[in-house]
Amino acid sequence: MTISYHRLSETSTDLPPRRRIHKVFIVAGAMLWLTFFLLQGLGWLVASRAESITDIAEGKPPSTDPVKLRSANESLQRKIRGLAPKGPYIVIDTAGNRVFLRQGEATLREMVASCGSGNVLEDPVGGRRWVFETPRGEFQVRSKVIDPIWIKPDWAFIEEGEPIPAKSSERAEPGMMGDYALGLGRGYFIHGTMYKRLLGRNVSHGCVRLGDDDLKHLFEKSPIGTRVMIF
Amino acid sequence: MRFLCVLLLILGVVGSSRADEVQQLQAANRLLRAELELAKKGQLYMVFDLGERQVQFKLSGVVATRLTLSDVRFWGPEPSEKVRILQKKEEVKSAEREKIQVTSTTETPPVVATPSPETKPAAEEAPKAFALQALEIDDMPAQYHMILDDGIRISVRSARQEGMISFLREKAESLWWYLSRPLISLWQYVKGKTYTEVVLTLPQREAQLLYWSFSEGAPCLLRRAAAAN
Repeated sequence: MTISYHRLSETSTDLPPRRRIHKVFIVAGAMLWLTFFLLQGLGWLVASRAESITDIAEGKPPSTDPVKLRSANESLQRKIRGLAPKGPYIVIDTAGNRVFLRQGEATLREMVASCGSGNVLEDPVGGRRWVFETPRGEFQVRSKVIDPIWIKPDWAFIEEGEPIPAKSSERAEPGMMGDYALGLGRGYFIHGTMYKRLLGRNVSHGCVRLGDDDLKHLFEKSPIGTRVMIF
Repeated sequence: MRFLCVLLLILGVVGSSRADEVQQLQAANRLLRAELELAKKGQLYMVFDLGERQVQFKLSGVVATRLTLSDVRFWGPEPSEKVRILQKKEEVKSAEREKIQVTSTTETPPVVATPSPETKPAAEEAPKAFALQALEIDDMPAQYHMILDDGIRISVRSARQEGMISFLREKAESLWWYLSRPLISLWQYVKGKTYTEVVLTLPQREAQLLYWSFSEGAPCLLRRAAAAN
């Protein structure tokens, strides 16, 4: 035993320094690879385990009977479908500046619009702030006006660097909103524009501007209560 | 004896496929219940349907628009079927809102007459009218990350362009992704968290549209497998 140990130690110390460094590198490399693969394996294992059950369950747990489950799912789908508008409805794409008049899945008319610019206005005196963005979500046609008159809000005067008038009669500006306007609530309207060349661009203060023919068509086809979906 | 073994094997296979079916139906049930609650609220919500490779923009159960995903990658534990909220978006360069420059009203003399409508289109004709100060879809990033309230990370990238370099870069990125994710998962596990990441590849315009419409605080649903009824 002693002899063999002696021999072994002799062989290892007899190695030239370069080979010894090689050997160390090989062993270290192998260890690194082994660690890497071990960590990879553990990582895959951790990633593939199921999410904790406490995170899943919210409310009544679903049945385990496939027949009951199928019928429950169909009933839920019916309920969701039941929330959809029955008649024509308006969909507004604020990014593409498009207005769609739809019924069910069918698009009855596609129109080019101008939606909110997303710009910010700050009142240098009062410190008020406005973001000119078309709001997203679901609205409905709340009012319909022929020959609407624009009652200029405070921001319009601030934007133009004009003083805010004391009299409300000085705010009225006829002809700016085109021939028709459909009120969506919260001061937002679908209306006409004098800037027809800018249709298809985001230039409005949050309202949705349309060309004359499209506006007339939409006005005629959208009764009060028509649902408006904006995304 | 052989017959008994075959019978047991068949029973085992049938039993496991039935359990799978029940699991899928339960998942669909939870998802539909979550969607019904969202649809009742009348707000915009997104459905990331990874099985069908699409993102649906929905309001009251109506699909306002749908984006087709050219590629989907998923990493991590199966997400539960529940409503998630977009907490924040991370991008290299975010779109900045233009601030309208206002001339001080104190120095402006009072204007009695409002500008007549006839003068407005004339202003539109001027070339400066087309130097629009607006935040438009083209200003949106096409590569970004969205972090949901439970920590799920949705990475969005635009579809690669044609060409060998682009192809090789994509392969290298993919390799790096598959090598690094287990280590991230492990690190998160050590910290007592789970790590789930979804990578969605979309055409550039659609990636920008998703960024535009899916704003912070908006709800979404994540459907992993194809819908089961």
